[in-house]
Amino acid sequence: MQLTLDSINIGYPQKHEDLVVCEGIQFSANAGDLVGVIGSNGIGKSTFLRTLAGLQPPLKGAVSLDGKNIAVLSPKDLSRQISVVLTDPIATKNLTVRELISLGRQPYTNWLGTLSKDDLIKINQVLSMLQLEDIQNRICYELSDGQLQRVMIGRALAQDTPVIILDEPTMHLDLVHKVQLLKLLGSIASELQKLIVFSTHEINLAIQLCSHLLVMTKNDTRFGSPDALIKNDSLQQLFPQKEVYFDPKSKSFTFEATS
Amino acid sequence: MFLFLLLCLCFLLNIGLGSVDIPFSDILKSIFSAETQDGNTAYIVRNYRLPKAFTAILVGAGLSLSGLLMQTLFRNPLAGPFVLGISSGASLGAAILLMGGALLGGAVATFFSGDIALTLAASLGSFLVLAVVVYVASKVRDTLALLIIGLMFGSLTAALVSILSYFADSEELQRFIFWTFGSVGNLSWSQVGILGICVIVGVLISIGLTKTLNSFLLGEQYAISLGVSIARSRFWIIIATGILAGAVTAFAGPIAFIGLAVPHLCRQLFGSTDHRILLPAVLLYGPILLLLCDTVAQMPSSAYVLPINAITSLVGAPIVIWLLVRKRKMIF
Repeated sequence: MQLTLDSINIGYPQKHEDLVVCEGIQFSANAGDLVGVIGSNGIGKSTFLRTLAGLQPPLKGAVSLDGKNIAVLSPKDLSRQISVVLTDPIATKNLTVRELISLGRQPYTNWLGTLSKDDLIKINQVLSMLQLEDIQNRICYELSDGQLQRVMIGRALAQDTPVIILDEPTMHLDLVHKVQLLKLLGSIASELQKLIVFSTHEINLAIQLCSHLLVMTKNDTRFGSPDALIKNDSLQQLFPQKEVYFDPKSKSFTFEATS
Repeated sequence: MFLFLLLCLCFLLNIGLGSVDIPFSDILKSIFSAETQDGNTAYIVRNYRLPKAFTAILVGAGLSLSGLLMQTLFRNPLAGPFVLGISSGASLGAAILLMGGALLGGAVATFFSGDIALTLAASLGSFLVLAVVVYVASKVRDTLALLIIGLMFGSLTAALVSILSYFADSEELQRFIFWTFGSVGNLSWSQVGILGICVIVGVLISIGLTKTLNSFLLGEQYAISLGVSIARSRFWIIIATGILAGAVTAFAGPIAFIGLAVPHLCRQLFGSTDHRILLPAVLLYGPILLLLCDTVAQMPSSAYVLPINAITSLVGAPIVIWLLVRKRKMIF
C-alpha cells in the first residue's frame, strides 16, 4: 500500500482565480509509516489533510493510492481505503461509545446498517485494543476530551482502512495524554501496518515519535524523516527565527527566555 | 408491541368518543358487521369517525417522521417539518384561493371554492416552495444556510399571506383562519386514500435512508468519509419531508408541534438516536399523540369541536419544556 502525491496544489476553487493555499506538495508514504504534518497556524494543514482524504479535490495533480487516483474511486470504495478523525465536533454526542464505534462499520454493512458477526468481532477488537471496554456503554457527552479522542480513533479503526488521517488529534489534551495518544498512533501504524497521517502543533513530540514529517511553510513543503529534515535545515525555516529557533543538538524547538 | 397495542387502544377511544354518544358495542357492530340496526350510527362511524381516525394516524405519522428527518438533516433540535417553508407555502396556496378571489375573478373563484380545490391549492403552494428550496439546496453547500433560506421563504410567504388577509373581506378571512386551525376531520375515504399513499411513499423513502441518517449523526464530513453521497442523500431527505409534510398540510392544515415534539419524546423514551429504532418509534408515537389530541379536541359528548392546532400546541409545548427541564439539556 502506497499513498503518493505528485506535486499537487491544494486550495479552494473560486469564480475568477482559484484560492491556492499551498503549491507543489510532494509526498509518498507506505503502510506502517507514521507521518506528522507540521506548520504554523493557517498554513493549510487541514486543507491538505482534507484533500488527502478525498473530502475535497486538489486544484492540480492527483492523490494516488497504489498508483490509482482516489478521485475515480466511488464513495463506497474510498470509504474502505481512507478513514478520518476530524477537528469538527460530531453532530450529536448522544450516542454510546459502542454505537459511535459501530458507525465505523457502515461501509461494510447492508442497506439497513445491520451489524454482522464479523462486524461485531471487529468492534470488540477495537474496544479491547483501545481499552474502551469499561466505558463502551457510556454516552459520548459524558466523556473527557482524551477519552472522546480515543473513541473517535476507535471509530476510524473500526472502519478498517489501510490509511487513517487525523486532524490535530492532540488538541485539548494535556502533555501526558498527548504522549499517550501519539504513542498509540505509532503502535497502531507499526503493529497493524497502517499508514497514519496526522497534523499537530506538538512539533517536539512529532520529531521524536514520527517516522516521517511533512513540514509546511509559506514558500515550500518538505517531506522526509525527522533526521533528514534536521540535517538539511528544513525545520529552522518553520518559524521566524527571532521568536523560536530549532536546536539540532536537543532535536527540539526552543526560545530565549529574555528578549 | 406494547406501543402497537396502545395505538389500537387510542384508535378505538378516538372512534368511541364524539359529539353524539354512541354505545361502544354499536360502534364495533357498525365497523365489523354488514347489517345495520341503526342507519345513523353506522353512517357516523363509517363515514365520519373512521376516516377521521385514519387521517389522524396518517397525519401523526407523517408529521413526526418529517420532523425526525429535518432534525437529523439540519442537526438542529429545533428543526421541524415546516422549517423548509412547506407550511407557509401551503398557507399561501390556501390564502390565494380563499382570499384572492378578487384577483382571480368572480367566476373562477366560485368554480374553485370546494374543499378539494383547497387541498389542491395548499399542495401546489407547498410543492412550489419546496421546489425552490430543492433548487437552492443544489446550489448551496452549507446546510445551516439552507435552514435559514427555508425560514426566509417562510417569512416571504407569510408576508404575502398577510397582505392578502388585509384586503380580504371578513367571510373569506374567517374561512382562511379556520383552515389554519387545522383539522383531521372532513376527509372523504378517497382523500384519506391519497393521503395514505403519500405517507406510505414518504415512509418507504425514509426506510431506505435509515443508514444514511445514522451516518449524518456524525456530521457531513464524516458521512462523506463513510461513503455517503451528501448531495443525493440531502435531495432524498428533502423530497421525503416535502411529500410527508406537504400532503399532511394540504389535507389537514398546518398542525403544530407534533413534528417537533414526537422525535424528542422518542429519543428520550428509547434513550437512543439510532434511526433503526427511532423510525418505527415516531411512526407509532406520532399517531398515538395525535389521536389523543383529536379525542380531546372533540370534547366528547358536547357539540363543540376545538381547533386541533390549539390542542397539539397545548400538549406539545409542555412536553418539550418538560423534557428540557428534566434532562436540563435538549439532547439530540
